[in-house]
Amino acid sequence: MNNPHHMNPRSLKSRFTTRFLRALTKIRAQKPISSSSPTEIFRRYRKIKVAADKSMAYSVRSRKTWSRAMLWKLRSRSHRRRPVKTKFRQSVMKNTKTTTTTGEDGVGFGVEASELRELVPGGEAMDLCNLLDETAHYIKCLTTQVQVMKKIADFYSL
Amino acid sequence: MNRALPEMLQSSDMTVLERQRARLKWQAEQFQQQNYFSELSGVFSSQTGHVQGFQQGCLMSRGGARGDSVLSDMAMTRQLKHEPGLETAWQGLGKVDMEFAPCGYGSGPSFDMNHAISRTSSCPPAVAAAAAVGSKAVKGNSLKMGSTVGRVSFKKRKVEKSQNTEVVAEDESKRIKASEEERESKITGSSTHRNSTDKKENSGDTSKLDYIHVRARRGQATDSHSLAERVRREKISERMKYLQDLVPGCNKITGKAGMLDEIINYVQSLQRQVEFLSMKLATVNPSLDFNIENLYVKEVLPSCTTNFPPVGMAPEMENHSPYLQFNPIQQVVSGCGMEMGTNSCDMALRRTISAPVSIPEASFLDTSCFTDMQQIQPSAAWDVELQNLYNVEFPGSIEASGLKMEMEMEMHQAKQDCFQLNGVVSTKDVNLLIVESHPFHLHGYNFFVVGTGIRNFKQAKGPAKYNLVDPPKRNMDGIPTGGWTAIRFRADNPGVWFKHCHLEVHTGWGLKNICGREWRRTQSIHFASNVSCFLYSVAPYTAKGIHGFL
Repeated sequence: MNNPHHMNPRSLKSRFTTRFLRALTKIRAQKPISSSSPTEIFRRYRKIKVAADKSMAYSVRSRKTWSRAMLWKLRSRSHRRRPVKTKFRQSVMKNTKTTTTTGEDGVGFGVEASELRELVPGGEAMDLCNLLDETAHYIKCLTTQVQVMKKIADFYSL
Repeated sequence: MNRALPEMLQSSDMTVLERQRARLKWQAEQFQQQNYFSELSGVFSSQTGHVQGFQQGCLMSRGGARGDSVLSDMAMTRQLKHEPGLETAWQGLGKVDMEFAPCGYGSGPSFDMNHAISRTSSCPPAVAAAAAVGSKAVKGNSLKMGSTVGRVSFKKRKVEKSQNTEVVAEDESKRIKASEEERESKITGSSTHRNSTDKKENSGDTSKLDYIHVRARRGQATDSHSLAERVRREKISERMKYLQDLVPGCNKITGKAGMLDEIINYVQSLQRQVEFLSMKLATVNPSLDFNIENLYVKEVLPSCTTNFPPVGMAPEMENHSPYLQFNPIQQVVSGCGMEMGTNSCDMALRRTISAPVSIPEASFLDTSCFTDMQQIQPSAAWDVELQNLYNVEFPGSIEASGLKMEMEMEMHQAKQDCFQLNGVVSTKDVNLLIVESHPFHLHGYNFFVVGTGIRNFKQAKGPAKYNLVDPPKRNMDGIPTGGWTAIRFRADNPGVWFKHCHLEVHTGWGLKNICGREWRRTQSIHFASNVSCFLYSVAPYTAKGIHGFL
């Protein structure tokens, strides 16, 4: 594997890759691969998906609202039994400019904007301007994620 | 230096552009000599050094015709953006309303701002006194390019409120600045277009109030609310442009709503791809250790092509090699439909995955039609379904998203819908962004047309409007341009049935898929390869030729 190009170790892609591979090894270490029953596969799929999202969110840290919201969601899901602390949620909300979403602009984005809010994590608490910003960054991260996962999957399916 | 410019500007012989240019030059000179921040310098003292370093940055006085009237143009250079400190300093000037409709010069990289100072301007009078010429202080916000060719009229301005300052105000948060830097390269050269759109946008504003002496563009309202509104709208359109560059295949869309639809679809497709890939990884048996592969993968990653081919590429990879020459049309016709197809696939798949109990038995690859399976009768074991899903649909759906196509997926490219025996099938055919409506014909069934609509199908709103009382029953229906049609039928006719656009040429181009009534689950995988071969052989034929094929 002589590759003249070396990846920038600080780039989003490399950060995500390292984290994700680490998580994958952990998941594989937990259970033997031989079990191919669909329930097992499903559970593993779930874990991998969560790992992918988590790795991506961690790679972005708290710089973006959507990553913070995603991390909060993941944490709250894992701590479902415990009472959820509301402080984190409030801090998430505080950092975003919250405005009412009804009739906020005269441009008539209503329905589509609400759909977009559902898609982008943490989008409910943002006004349209920030929502579009977050969407742009989210799209960028998603494409990176897809690329990396695709490469990994291709490599292992060969 | 006051003398030179006003005289020049008062000559009505000059065009607006020349006037602006003269003003710009004059301002540049002015700026070199004066300290504009006598009062504001308390706030901006640390940044004056930076400010003065800008070559073209100067506040233009637009008070041409009336001498001491106020300007609202501001030229800023690109370097202004790199001063995060500046923006914090100007946070305090929050009261100054700004309007940044783009104004600028067709030439050069200067950013011009059109600012209107509200009557509630917080600029102290002392600052005004420091100004050499009557012009107003404004806060520049975002940086845009535009041309001032259209802007002609300006109002008289109260002298007290005017000053000649160069302000590099940044009202917004730093995050916006960072994203502006990203966008900077994209916001170029669209000056005239932007200006014209802005003019059109602003011409609809409410009438101006007489007693407010505020610089405003022609036909614009001047109260603070509309100014703020305009600011917001500018910001939003800026971001939309950026997103337009980010989302592939939406260069032709001009409407905001359509753009948002595209963005939504793209985000959905990306999320589903992530799901699919994680599913794939869950079933893959690694022969090597992940750690060892760390380096390898890392090295592999940069060498791989990371560009997503245009959406229109997808249908080409459908091994319709005889149709490669129809590239552009195919892209238009099927490409966009492909994008929608992915969403439908993925949507149903997501439903599938997240609800293992009531999973629909059907597995499908849909690349040209938007098919939404709602099985009324719950299916059998999840394991078989998973098998079907994994082996059959995912590759197709992934490829249909317009990403890089992989040749090994070709065999799974079969476009098929498998319906459960006697299950009620509710499908939705989407025709988005295509310049004409397509009449779709389904072999083997007569279906009920329960709904139709334009633009994206919205799960919340669409089904609510379904006509379930007396829907027309037919086997061919037209899908409106840029819209969708929902049909329902009971899949009681076993076999593989052709579904295609009844415009003959479109069938040849690939606007078709297969609806298969599955009679034995185990056959589904073989189904895929069979159908792909079928498709491949069918491609050269016209619709007429294969009517009786199956």
